[in-house]
Amino acid sequence: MDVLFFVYILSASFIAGSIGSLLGLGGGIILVPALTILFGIPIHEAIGLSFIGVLVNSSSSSLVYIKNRMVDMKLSSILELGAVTGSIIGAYTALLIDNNTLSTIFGIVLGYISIDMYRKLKKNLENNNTESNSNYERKYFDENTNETIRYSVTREKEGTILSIIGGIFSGLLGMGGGAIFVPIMNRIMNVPIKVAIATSSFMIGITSLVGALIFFNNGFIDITIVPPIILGIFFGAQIGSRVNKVIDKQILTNIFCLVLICIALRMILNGLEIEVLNL
Amino acid sequence: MNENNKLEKLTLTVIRTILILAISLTIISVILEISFSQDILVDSIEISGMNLLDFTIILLFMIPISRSTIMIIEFLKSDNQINAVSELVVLGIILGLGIRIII
Repeated sequence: MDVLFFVYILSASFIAGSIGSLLGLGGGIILVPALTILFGIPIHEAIGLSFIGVLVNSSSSSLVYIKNRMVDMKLSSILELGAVTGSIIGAYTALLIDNNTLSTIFGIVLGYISIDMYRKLKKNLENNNTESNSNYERKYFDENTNETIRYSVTREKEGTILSIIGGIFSGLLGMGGGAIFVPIMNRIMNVPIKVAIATSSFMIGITSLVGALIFFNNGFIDITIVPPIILGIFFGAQIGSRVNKVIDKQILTNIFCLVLICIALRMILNGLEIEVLNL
Repeated sequence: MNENNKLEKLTLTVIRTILILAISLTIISVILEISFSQDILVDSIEISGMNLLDFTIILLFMIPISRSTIMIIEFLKSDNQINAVSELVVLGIILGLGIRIII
């Protein structure tokens, strides 16, 4: 591989990994548009490569989350069933869709996620629902407040069925699916937001592996591009998780939402084959 | 609570070990490729019949598979049948997809 091309992919993956880690995303949301728009890699190949990046990011962030005892493994084992089913449906659907349609779908979903992220920033996502008809009691230690938070998981069946949707988006677009898993756990299943993010991060390792296996089997993963993605995402995620504590997250999210909306528009225009600027 | 501790500790150890190994092998393959400007050297290093890069990707794929296996064993030990079966189905699907690649 050309050294310059290697450095470019490494830099893009590093940025995807660090921003993904800062904002609790898998990294695929940045990596797929970067690979398609900046490097002209076909979207199917970009999605295949993104699965590898998301897998690395999930494994790397899971280390921190498990160490801090934030991952609800019992919950993840239940939700993974729906997520994996969805991921298979999504990945095979992606293989049937042409580049332009996939690019348009990606743009629309990306636009929705960025607007939703901005909306959540305005009103705190923390769940105030105290309803409890759970099967088991759980607890985690919140380092910020220095207290043990107890919670109960509700509506497991509904959560598992809905996690199929998260899996479909993950398999279809090469994203982790956290943008869907986190609200399902937080809003529907009554799981505290920190546990929801950690558990989602842990789960997306499985959904991205399913997508990666399907895309790999269909020849959509170019192994020569994989090393800079692995290294970029891994080291980016490490830096992102360390910078997390010192950076003003509100400003960063505002800027990032704006950038994501621009990328979403660009992906939609690409999909519709409309040339606005010759970037 | 001890069961949870054990499960978390085991999962953490396995993920950390495989991830460090995969990252180290990726760095080695990149150094080899950049230093000698050709893939021949990377291809010539074989581990379990695979070249360095293929082996690294298989290692990465092993992270969720290993942690899923650990979760099944620990859930079975602690009588969490529903969780164990759910994880077993997930692992079965993944292995099925993996076998399709090999065949």
